[in-house]
Amino acid sequence: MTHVILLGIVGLVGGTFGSMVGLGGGVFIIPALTLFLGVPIHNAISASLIAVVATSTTAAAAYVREDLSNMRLGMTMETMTVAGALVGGFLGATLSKGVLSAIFGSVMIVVSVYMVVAKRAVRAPLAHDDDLGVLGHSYFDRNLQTVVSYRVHKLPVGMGVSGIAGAVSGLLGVGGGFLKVPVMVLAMGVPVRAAVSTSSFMIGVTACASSAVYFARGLIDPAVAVPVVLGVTLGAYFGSKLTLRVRSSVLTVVLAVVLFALSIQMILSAAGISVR
Amino acid sequence: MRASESTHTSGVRDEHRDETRLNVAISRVLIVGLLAAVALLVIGAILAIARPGVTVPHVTSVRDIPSELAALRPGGFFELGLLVLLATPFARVLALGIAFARRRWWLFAGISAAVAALLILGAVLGVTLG
Repeated sequence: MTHVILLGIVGLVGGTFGSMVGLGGGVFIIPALTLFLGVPIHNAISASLIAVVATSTTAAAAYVREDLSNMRLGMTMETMTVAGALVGGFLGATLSKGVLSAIFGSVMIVVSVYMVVAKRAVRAPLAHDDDLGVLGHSYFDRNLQTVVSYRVHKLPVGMGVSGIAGAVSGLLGVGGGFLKVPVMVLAMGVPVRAAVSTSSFMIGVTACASSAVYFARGLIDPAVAVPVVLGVTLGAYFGSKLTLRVRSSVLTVVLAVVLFALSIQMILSAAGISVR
Repeated sequence: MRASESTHTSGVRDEHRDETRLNVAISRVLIVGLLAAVALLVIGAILAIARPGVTVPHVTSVRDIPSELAALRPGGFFELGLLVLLATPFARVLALGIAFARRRWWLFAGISAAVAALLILGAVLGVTLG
């Protein structure tokens, strides 16, 4: 019974932080389950994928209602993410996870440092309501007490990174939000709050494809997945409420710290140093 | 000139109002799917606590779900709950595609259809090619 409660707590923490920074929580859940609770890595990955779906669904329900998610942009980028997830799933058999972990860990260190140092780049240029383009969007920012409108720039860059995020998701069992949020914020001119909520909207669809295969093959252990999912659902609900009350600059720093920690974890794992 | 600007601004506002209604509809799809999944998982958890002698299977099997449910075994509720949870994002893509089509936003309706097709392709390839 204690083990079940601990699984639920891991899910609760993963869901809260994951939904706050636009990730599915897998980056917290997989290391916690394997490091502290002795769950086999394959069961941890499959539980994490289901947890990503739960986090995304819970958070997206709140964000979409608040008009924060840019569904046209999310769905456009999702074409590349799901295609990437398919390629990633099949490449997994030939490419070493260690090599990929090292490459993406290094990229994420650069991105996380850049996000903190170049805060000006995080502030998206505002646009007028009649100048949003096909993918632009506007929403009411409760913290700023104003309507924020933005145009979407450099769509090809975003689509390319989305494809890579999908491939990583298919390979490592995570949602891929850790790549989508930075590219939306840094390259595409999407405000961080909108990027986080749009990413939450997207990652559930990506994880759905991978976890359905796990389910069909009988690779999901309900004794592990169910407590984690229930904890994650509760955590994602709290996280989505907290996000609406936290300043974008704070959210950016939290995101940068999460990315930095994740990148260190990935590089250590690539070097054969187990931190899980 | 001012009249055309006013018409354009009004059109943009109408589009945003329409998008807000779409957001509420999609949010409902997510909430219904999530609540159904959580309800099934909680029922399974209550059964597991109430019947400590009944073991929870450590693998998922779609074929066993009906018999597990009929026998009120927690495993059946857990598996069906997880399945409903997995179906929710797919239902969201379909609902969004239909909503875009009803608004004659054909580009985004087509994009949603492509995402749904890719999800189906992925699941089928994953299961068959292993």
